[in-house]
Amino acid sequence: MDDFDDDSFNDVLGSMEMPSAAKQPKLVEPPATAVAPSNNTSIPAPAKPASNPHSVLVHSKQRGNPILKSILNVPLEFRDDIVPDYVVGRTSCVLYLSLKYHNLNPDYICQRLKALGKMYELRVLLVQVDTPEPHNALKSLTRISLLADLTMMLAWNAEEAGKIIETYKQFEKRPPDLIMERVESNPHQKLVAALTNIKPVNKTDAVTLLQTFGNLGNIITASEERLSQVMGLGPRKAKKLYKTLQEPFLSK
Amino acid sequence: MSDLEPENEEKVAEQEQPAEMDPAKLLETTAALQEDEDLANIVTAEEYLMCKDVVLLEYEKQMFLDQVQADGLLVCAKGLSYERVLINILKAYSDSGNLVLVINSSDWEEKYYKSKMEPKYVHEVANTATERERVYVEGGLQFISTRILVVDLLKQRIPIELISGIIVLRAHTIIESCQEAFALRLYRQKNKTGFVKAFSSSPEAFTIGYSHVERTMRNLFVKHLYIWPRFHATVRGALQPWQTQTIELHVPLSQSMTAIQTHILDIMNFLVREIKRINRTVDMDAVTVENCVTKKFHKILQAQLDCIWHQLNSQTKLIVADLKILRSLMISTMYHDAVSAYALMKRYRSTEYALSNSGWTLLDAAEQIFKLSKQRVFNGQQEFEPEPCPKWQALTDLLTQDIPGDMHRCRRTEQPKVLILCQDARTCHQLKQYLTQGGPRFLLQQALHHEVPVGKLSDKYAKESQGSREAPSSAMKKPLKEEAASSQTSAAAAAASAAGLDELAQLLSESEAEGQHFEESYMLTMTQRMVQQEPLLDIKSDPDVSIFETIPELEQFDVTAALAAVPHQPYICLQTFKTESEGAMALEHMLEQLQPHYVVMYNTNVTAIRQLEVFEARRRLPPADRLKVYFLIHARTVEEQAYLTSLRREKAAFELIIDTKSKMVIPEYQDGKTDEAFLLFKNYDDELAGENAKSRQAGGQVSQAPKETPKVIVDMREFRSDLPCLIHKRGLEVLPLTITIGDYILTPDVCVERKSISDLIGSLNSGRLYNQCVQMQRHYAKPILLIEFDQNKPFHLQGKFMLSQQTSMANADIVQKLQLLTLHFPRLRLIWSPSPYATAQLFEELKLGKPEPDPQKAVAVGSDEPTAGEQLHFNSGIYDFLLRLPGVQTRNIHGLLRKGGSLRQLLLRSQKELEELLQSQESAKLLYDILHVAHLPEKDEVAGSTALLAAGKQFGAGSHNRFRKAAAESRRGRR
Repeated sequence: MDDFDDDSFNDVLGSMEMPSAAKQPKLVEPPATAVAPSNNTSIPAPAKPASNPHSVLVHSKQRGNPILKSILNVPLEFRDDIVPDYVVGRTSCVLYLSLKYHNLNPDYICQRLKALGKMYELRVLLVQVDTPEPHNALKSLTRISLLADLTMMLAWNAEEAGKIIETYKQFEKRPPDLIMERVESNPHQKLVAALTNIKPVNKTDAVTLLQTFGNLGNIITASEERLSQVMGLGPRKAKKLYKTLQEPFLSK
Repeated sequence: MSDLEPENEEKVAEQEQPAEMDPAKLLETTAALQEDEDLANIVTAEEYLMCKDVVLLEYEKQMFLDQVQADGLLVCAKGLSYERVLINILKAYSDSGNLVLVINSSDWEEKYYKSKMEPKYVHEVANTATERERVYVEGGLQFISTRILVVDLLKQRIPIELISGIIVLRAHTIIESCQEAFALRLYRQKNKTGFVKAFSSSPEAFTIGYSHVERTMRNLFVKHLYIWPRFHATVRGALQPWQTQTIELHVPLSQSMTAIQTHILDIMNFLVREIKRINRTVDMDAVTVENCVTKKFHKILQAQLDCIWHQLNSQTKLIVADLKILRSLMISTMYHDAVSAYALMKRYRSTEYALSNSGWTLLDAAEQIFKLSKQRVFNGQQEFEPEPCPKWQALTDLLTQDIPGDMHRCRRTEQPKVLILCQDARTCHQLKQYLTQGGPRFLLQQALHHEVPVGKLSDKYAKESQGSREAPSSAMKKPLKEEAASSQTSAAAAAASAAGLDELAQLLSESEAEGQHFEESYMLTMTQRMVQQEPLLDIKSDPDVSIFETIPELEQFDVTAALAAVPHQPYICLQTFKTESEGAMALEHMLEQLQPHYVVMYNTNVTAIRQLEVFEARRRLPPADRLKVYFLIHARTVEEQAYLTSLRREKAAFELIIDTKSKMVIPEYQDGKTDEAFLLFKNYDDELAGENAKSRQAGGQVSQAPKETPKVIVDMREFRSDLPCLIHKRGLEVLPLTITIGDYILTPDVCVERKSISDLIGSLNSGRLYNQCVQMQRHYAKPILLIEFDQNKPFHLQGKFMLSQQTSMANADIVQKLQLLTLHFPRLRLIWSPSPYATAQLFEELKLGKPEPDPQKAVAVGSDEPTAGEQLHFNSGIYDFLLRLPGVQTRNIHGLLRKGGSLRQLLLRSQKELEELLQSQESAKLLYDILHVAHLPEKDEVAGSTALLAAGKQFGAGSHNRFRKAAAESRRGRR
């Protein structure tokens, strides 16, 4: 079952061209005839905006998909005029694929991609891993996603899949602060961060050290043996810490 | 030793060492010493063994012959020491016409072998690439770190064809994806004649995982497996005739110690059952009470739980942590003195700990443990009266009665030399203090050191400590001390408490001055004259008196000097089984230098016992002159059990390996000396090296011959991971370069940032990944984030295995952050790879028919920061540390590093001076503050942690109750 995935895809993949930049508003060439004749003839066109800007647009075909049950915090709106399965933002869409289904019907995703063309900026391929040996199928999907500019997300069950769709909608306009480097304004936190940077020292150790010695100066002047007596700091950690702190800046 | 029986298959060895025999090459060596000539005349390995200065035991000779005849993996029992064999192999090959590399050696091994070799053949590994290139050509022996070797092999800085051979130490660590295996593969591809000889002394390691031995041998490209257990007939034959006299002294534990031991075992038993109950589905074979008390418990547990650690719920993790704690309590009770053990116990009685543990402190047995350990220190009236270690008295008896008595019986005239072996530096220190100061005094010192409130000394104890303090002073006959002692005595007579205070003050200053610096060995002598036979009796009559003092030569730690210092006094040396600087070889070294008459095993250790046997077999003395070994064991306790378990595990391991060997199928090509082996790896070997270099310089030429090996540019830092090795194994060429953006460049467009799961979480949280993505997106058309799972861990980011609420919350958080990342980088592609193997395969497929990456461009991209070249001059540890301090940024750190000196010197600088260094007033103030002002956690941090504590309380309360109930039930069940 796993073998034919690769074979049947190679034709399709071969026919897709690699865009050099992502934002080229170019359509995919009609794929080779090796792929089963497509039944979806709808012309790709951006969907009309939703009546409620906060709702996820769901393709009617997704009705009855168990993942919908776990989308609780955003409203859903069923539509027929969208190409992808879910539209989670002005420029982002989600294609849902269950691996079980993919294994039975490997052409399906290609047809969907063909229909999708180059629409949307962020195109998420949400794969629900529901087979015991997913690796081969995932590998071919990875290749597809690289060629067709898809961002692959994995979910291991329906709830996770639903949560992912929900989160995409909720995060639609979220600034990246959450994943950007935080500037630690608090000197204590900064000190902890600096100390934990020395390999075996963990956060608890760092806090204990600061508690025991008061300030950084005292830690620097402490003897190795004094360091090793700090609770949680064995001789090994103390040795490393001591060595790092005493090292001259310039190496010979 | 010359009566070595000639063997038939010996002729093979002739072909083995062609380089060595080549007289032309020998002529090139400038200083042709006698030894070289001797070596040159030797034709076979056997003749080498006949040389006068080769002293090997029968089985060691066999090991040597085996290894020289055919490349193989040698697994020998702990303590049997292949070291000598290896030294001789190295000696046989040490010649400037040979280039022998030793890889995977630990620091002490490297030092040890270097010290045994002739320095002119041992080359230090140079720091710079060009320097290394030069040194490689010089030949000789090199102890090289594998990461450097791999890069040099890839960059062809090392003349691969000219390498005579590689010796792999600690071979049990060689797995397919590791750097050593990578280096060996690179070596074998280009070099079909050199040897690979591998050594390991850890049979247990081969029992982990599926067909570990076979895989290791495949990775090492060796076809032979040599097994040398202690029960091997040759080994037994070599050691049996020289057996030492052993005397086992069974020391009973004190009552409270036995009780504590039982209670700890009870709790462990309970926790182990609890852990198995919670995790029915998970394989928890390693978690048994028996394993809990063995030495390697941490390692065993790590091996077993590491791959499923993320699946365990928090309760399980707590229990595992508690098992470790209980183990440390057990050790403390068994091996440390009563006061330190009590101090340790006290820590776990705090409320904070009670809130954060799995609940064992609430069990009745735990209460008993706390009570009993307190009773060991304080008597019924809450007076300080610690119980001495039971082995102390036994040791004193040994040293003062048995050994002198034995000397007397044997009519030996020289002074006895006694070696006391113990397991760690702490025990060593304890014994030294006990022997020099006497037990009570040492215990009091410990109490002060651990800040145990002494309060009032009991009368009996006060007397004892007085007595023991008087003794050394009188023995030393120093008037000053006597005065002090007498004044103390009068004070004690006046009021016990006053004496206690006096003593406290004195001791406090003493212990502060001395600190607690644990040495790994001490030299002692008995101070009282023992030249004549008569005083022996005196000592017997006066056992409480401390009669030992340290030999002042201790600092240099020179045994001969110390021996010379006390020619007419008995000589006692305290030593640990292993030292940090010399590893297990420390003991052998010590035995050779000291040539002791008596060995006291204060603790038991398999390796050390075998080392003693081997030492005795080397000396070949008549029975009367041999070592006498005394064992001090607590019979039928965890101590004995731990020893027996380690023996049993080793035996089982050997049986497994022997069994495997008998069934093993080794393909003819496994040695990699034919191309067959590499055809399997899709080798593109026929390409010439010159062509390689050319195409690299031209760079990025797209349309080349179809034969062209696909190339992948790999960041130098990535060589710590397995992936480069596996990429190469798939037949892709790996170009090691230092690149600032991404980890792997597959094509001019495709740049991959590899993240393991822990990295992913860490870098998402720290914001590093965001920055990396910004960089990648800026410079590459197809940035890829590769999320790589560990092959040993299930392919899950989260899932049904997550039992506890907290962890799945944390994981959902990670997915959300990842989503946010994709929202902001819509061009970023994600690859989810179940293992490095799958990644390598995927890379290969992605490369098909794509243009090659351009190394020069890859290096140039994003490396406009000035740090790249300069960074090497700074100590990287301190660089990273400073960079995280407030006020230090990338733009001012260089000035700081160049002129700052060291952290200590920074401390001495004023804010004004710092300002000059940092060229900013504001930065200087920040840095000055951070160095000198105490910073406390801010309110929100505290609030966070208290909230967590409160949550823990709530969360824990249920589990504690359940615990209680379960404990009560188990008790009822027992009755």
